[in-house]
Amino acid sequence: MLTIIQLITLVVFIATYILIIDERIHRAVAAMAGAAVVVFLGIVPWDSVLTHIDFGTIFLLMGMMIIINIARQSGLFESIAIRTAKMANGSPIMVLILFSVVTAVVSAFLDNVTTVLLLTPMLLYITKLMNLNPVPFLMAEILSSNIGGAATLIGDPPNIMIASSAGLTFNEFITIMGPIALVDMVIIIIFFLVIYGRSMKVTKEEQKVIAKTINSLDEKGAITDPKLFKKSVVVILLVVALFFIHSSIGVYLNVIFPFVDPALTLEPAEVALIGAAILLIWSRVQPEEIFEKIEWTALFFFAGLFVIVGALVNTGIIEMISLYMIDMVSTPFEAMFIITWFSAIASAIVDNIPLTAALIPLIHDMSATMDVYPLWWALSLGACMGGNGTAIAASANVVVLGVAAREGISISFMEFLKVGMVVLVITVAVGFVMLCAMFGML
Amino acid sequence: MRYYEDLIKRKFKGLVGSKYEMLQKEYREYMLTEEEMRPREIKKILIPLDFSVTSVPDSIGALLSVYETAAVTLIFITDEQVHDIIKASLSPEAGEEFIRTKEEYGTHLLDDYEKSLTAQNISCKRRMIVGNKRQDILKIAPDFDLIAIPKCYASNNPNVCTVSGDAIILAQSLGQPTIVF
Repeated sequence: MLTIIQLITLVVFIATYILIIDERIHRAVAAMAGAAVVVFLGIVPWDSVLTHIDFGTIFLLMGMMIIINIARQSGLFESIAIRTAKMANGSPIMVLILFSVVTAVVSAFLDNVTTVLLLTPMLLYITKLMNLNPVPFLMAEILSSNIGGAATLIGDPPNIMIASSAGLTFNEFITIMGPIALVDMVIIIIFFLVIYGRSMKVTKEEQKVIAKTINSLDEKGAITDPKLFKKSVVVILLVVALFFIHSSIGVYLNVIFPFVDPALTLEPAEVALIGAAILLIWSRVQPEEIFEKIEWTALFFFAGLFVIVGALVNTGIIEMISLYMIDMVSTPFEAMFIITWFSAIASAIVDNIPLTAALIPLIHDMSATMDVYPLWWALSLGACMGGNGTAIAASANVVVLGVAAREGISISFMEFLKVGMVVLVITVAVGFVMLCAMFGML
Repeated sequence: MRYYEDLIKRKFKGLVGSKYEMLQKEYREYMLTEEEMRPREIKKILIPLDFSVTSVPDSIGALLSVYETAAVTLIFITDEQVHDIIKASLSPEAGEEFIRTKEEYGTHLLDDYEKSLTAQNISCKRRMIVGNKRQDILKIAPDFDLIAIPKCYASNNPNVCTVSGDAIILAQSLGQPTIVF
């Protein structure tokens, strides 16, 4: 039997999530309003608000936003898009494969939304040149963005949240989620070639004309600031390198600076902020220009969500659900199965960020009675791959569909669902089997 | 379906905000409509001429021969305002003489242009009018696909002209593709 406070908290939680899905009110405003209600009612005491907000996630996002905003100014993304287009040599199938791979790789290390926002116009332009239906190419781009984002700690916001809360390292993501993302990418590319390959055939003459037009694009001309371009690439590579060694950076630094404690570690957020600071100093761009382009609405959205979920924790609702779950499952395999598929299907409906925010404290609670290490990966798999299920399941989906709609190309909900759900089931199933194999559950 | 379309618009606006307008500027050469993607067909070319144009450049024939099926209209314009001033300040006969002199020059110029263009297998029509060198071209230009303007067109000093003011203004004002040669 729920208490009044628990009921109110649930109502606020559900209402906020409905508002987030519907987006008649901006998602950040909805999250802040929900947070305001639970703080006002004392469900989350003011002095505990900051403990509920995961600043690791927020500062990591902020740091990467600063780096990407500066890198964008140099024409980096446009240059990548043109180079990718040229490599395809006029072949539609190669355009599909290359854009999918490039989207996946870039999404793995940089923000999904910015990646697809800046690659989609070029992809649309090329499909117009090829006189082919752009829908398969756009779908492949969306799916690749979500799959690629699953591969690393920084690739997708759910992974950032999970890593920050569970203390998982960048290398753990690379070794566990990386192979899953790789296998899923191969499967998806084959899937698209089988389904759409025939409709992507062009004659040799047409291919030559397409290649000629694309080759007239100038990837060097797209670089508006060559010095900034080089600095951005250097800092991005440095940040990625630091991510690889963040959990054991003390060992490396101790070699050069013996006064450094070998046990020193860097949080991912620290890596991102250090990278941002280096690029800000080195590039000499006006900081106001960069800081005003930080997606403050996204950061307030996250903060609001954390407070609302904090209310669920404080009122014991999370504990109730976790006890129920623990009763329901008798083996770690069952727990993994439930978390994986529940988070995948729920992500397809709700949007993976609020879902992950809600499930993280649930898994933490379950850790009292079982080893939850595999469950973090189950959540990562479900939340990231679940983003492929429906048109509204992940931010990258909405961005690609929105850009396409503005250019007159419409992908209906059902059209997306038919492909998205098949991909969701395949990628999650394959990923689940791989996770079970990794954790010796097969 | 309507709800879904509106939902995507709302979510897109929430995620991307005003970045999309910036993106459209940065990527304008890639965000073309179907019409803009199709290369414009050039069937009719207009070349305005006047007393300031002194010769036929060798390059014009080669340049316009790229448009294999296009027909060129040469139009020689005598300034109506100058004619009216001469007619009013001197005499109607002086005005007529002004026009006759200009049109005699115009006939030779049109002959030279026609000869140069037909040598490149470009079909030509020719006209002579008395009118305004800028306004009349702006008026008739919408009937043509390409306007090729001699650089000294309507120049006050053709011997030292690089590009005349009227040529620049026409190139800026015309909606059609324009070349100044």
